[in-house]
Amino acid sequence: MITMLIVDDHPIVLEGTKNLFQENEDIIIDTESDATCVIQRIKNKPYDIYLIDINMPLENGINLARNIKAIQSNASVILYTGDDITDYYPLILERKIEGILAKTASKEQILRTVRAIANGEIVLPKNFLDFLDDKFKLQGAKDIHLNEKEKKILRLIAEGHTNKAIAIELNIPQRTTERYLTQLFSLLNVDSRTEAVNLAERMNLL
Amino acid sequence: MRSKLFWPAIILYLIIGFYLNYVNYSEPYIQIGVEEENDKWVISQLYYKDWAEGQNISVGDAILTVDHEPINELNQLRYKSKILSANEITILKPDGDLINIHIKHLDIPQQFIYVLIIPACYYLLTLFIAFYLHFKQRNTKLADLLILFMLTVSLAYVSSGVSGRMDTIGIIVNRSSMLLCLVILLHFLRNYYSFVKTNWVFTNNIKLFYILPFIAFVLGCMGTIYPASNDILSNVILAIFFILLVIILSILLISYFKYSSPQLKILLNSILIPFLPFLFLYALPKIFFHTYILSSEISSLFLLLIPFSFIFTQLAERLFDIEYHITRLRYYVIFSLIFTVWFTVGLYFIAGRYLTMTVMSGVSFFTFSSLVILFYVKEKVDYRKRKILFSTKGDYIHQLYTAVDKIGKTIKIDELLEKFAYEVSMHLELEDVFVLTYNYDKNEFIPIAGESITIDPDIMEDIRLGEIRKIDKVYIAFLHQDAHFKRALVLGHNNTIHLKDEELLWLELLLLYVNNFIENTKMVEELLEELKHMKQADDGQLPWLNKLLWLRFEEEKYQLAQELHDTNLQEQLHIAREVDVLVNAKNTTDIQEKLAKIHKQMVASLHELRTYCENLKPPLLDTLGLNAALEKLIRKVQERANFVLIYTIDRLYLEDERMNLMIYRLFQELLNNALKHSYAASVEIHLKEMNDGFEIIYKDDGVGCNVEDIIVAESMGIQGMQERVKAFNGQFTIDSNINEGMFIRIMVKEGSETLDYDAHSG
Repeated sequence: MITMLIVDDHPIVLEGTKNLFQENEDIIIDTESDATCVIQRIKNKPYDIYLIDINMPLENGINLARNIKAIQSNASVILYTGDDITDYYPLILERKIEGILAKTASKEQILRTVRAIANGEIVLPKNFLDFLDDKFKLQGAKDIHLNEKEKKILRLIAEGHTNKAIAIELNIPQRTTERYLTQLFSLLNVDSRTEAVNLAERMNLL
Repeated sequence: MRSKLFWPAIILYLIIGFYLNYVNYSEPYIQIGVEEENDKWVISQLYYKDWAEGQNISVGDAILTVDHEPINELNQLRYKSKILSANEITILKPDGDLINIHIKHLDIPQQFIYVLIIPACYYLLTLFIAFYLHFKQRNTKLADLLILFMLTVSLAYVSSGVSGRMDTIGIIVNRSSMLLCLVILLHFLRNYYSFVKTNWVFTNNIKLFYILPFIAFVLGCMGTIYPASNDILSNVILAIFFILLVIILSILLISYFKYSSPQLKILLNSILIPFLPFLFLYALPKIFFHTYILSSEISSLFLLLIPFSFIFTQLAERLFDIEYHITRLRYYVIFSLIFTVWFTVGLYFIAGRYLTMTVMSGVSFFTFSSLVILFYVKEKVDYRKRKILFSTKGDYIHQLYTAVDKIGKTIKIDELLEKFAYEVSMHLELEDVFVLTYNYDKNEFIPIAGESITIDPDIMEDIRLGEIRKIDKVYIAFLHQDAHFKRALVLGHNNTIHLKDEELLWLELLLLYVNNFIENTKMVEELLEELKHMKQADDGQLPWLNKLLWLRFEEEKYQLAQELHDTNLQEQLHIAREVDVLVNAKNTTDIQEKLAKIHKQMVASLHELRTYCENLKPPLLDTLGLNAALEKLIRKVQERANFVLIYTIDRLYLEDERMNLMIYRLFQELLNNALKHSYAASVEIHLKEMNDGFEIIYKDDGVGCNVEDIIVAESMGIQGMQERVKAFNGQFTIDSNINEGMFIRIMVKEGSETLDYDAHSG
């Protein structure tokens, strides 16, 4: 038995996607059109798999995926997008999502991916390997080299400053600080302040 | 207080005064000292010697009868061995002649003047002033006290002659009123101090002091019962009088040295100076040496000045007026005196031989008085012709200066007028000063809260610039006139205050300034109003800009619609038709294959649509950020490009998130230009982080172009880029020549006031 929540702001897509699973009685589908309601909803009733659209007006799918994983660490997230899916391969490497599906994908592809992920496997297109090649090539070419601003922010984090304190220290709004931190964490491929500091120390970045 | 005390006091004054004057009138005051020798009363001392000589009276004569009665029965002799007053006396000369002398008032002019006429005049004058003050008064309590004070002083003075005759009632009245007048004065001063808001340095319990006159009254009665104690009692009263006087003087002195206000100075002078003769020439010698230098009649003449000097406290609240006149007089007198001395000395050296002392002093006096008059005349002439005035302390210029300074700091007319009225009211010490505005379109005054003075509109119409008129109860001074209103300053004088020339001149000048001020202030007000309007217009966006933007948006939408219509819509229509064919197909054998073909077409169409959307809204910018979006853009370009693309992209930390979109668009534009127009073999593009902004450097080795040409031609979107960069306060530099490639450098800095990163990073 697989439980799955589909999140998409377009009712037509939501309905169509749900219909794909109609004949599979072992997959139980719920739908949600408002991304901001999801967190509240899954607190009471968590799902095994989340199939999430990326481009949603109130909260984009990537943020939603992070928030879901924050409260339900065993959740599996599949992004379901009309965009070019290769752009989002890094998210798989960063373990932010378990899979990615194009909206043009066939019913068979979708069912296969969902079943595989429910079994703890990952199904990916072949060009994922190209992405990996590029990734390692680049990584080999240039190590992470932090610029002055990033070092400054990291130092402030290491000293245990709150976002607010950092905002005051840098003389910028708190919202901007949060954006900077997100960008820095994604660069370092970490999820938290502690991880960021540990990584920076380990790699002698400071 | 006014109705309760005034009339009883006046009636009492009238009754006592009438009696006292009658006593003074009934018998001339002769004061002949007598001694009892062998059962005869022999003259030992003659007071009015001239008269006695004329009447053939001399020391040693015996007096037989006084007023047809034997001298032994004379009441007066019980107190002193003196015959004080009589209408007729019979004396026996040592040679046995019997002389009967009728005494008339005019026989002895000194006593006639000092004992009868002056007291009587003073009595009547006081009565008159009391009535005047009573009906003219402003401050009821103070005026009543002043009236009482003057009445008691008058009684004390009139009764002094009567008590001198050892008249019972005269003695009682004299002693009581002597003390009473000082106690009332004390009371008056206490109230006056609180009226002029000066601290009272003595006890507030004045009522207690009213016991003293009562004691004096009792002592006076005792004196008539026991004539022998008369001298002692008289001294007791004088001592109390002296103590009270010292108290009053010390109060005035202490408070004068403490607060030294002009009011106090005048009070002090007006009490101190008249009392000095009485104190030093009569009272003190009388107490310590039992004799006097000046008789009480003459020394008390000076005291008559006191009550009158107090009238100013009622008639003019502006004490400094008096001070002003005194200083001016002193100033003129000193000048005149010095010149007169100089002139007299000169005259003596030149013509001393021919002139007698009398002529010399006459000439001196004439010179002196002429000079003083000359000064006053000069002052008038100066004021009329040249607007120059004597000033006591240079106050006048200084006040004008500060007033102008204070008024000049306002920017609103109402505020200006208010301040002006306040300054005038402060400087001239007038209470009722306000600015009256007259609307001569409607012929009416604009009412002001709390002001009830009405002015004849004709006067308002008539008054001209720089004019100050005195009418009915107010001064009215022209202030300003514009298209609708005429403004005038109104100063209430209430018939009690007369503005001096100096003050009028001060006011006139100030009016002139204020007139100019109002003009200027109006200009400032208008300018401010205009600015406000401009600001408001600025707040709402510019209409032409809105229109332009709207047109641009509509144009853009139209283009989008057209493009979609030409491409995707046609494909979708085609697909729909194909599907429709399949739906209605009778032959279903190869339907699967045909559907697969249509699916393929649809996916292709979707990809086109997606590319189209990505052009409109850069992908990944919102989700994965600028760097990912740029990497993707570059990858796409690299797929299509015939040139080698070298690029570096710094990670930026920009405060303004919209900058990311601009950077993306700049990259897009630059790379599209490279793809379409450059024909380059290699292209470099760099995004560099800067202190508080970023820098984009683009370089190619392509065909290049003439910079002027492309900007004029509006091709390649160069101008669009330039405008966008400028809109973000950036710098755009382009350097290119035909066949020499192209170099573009864009620098944008975020506002240093919002992002001050470096200052903190140390």
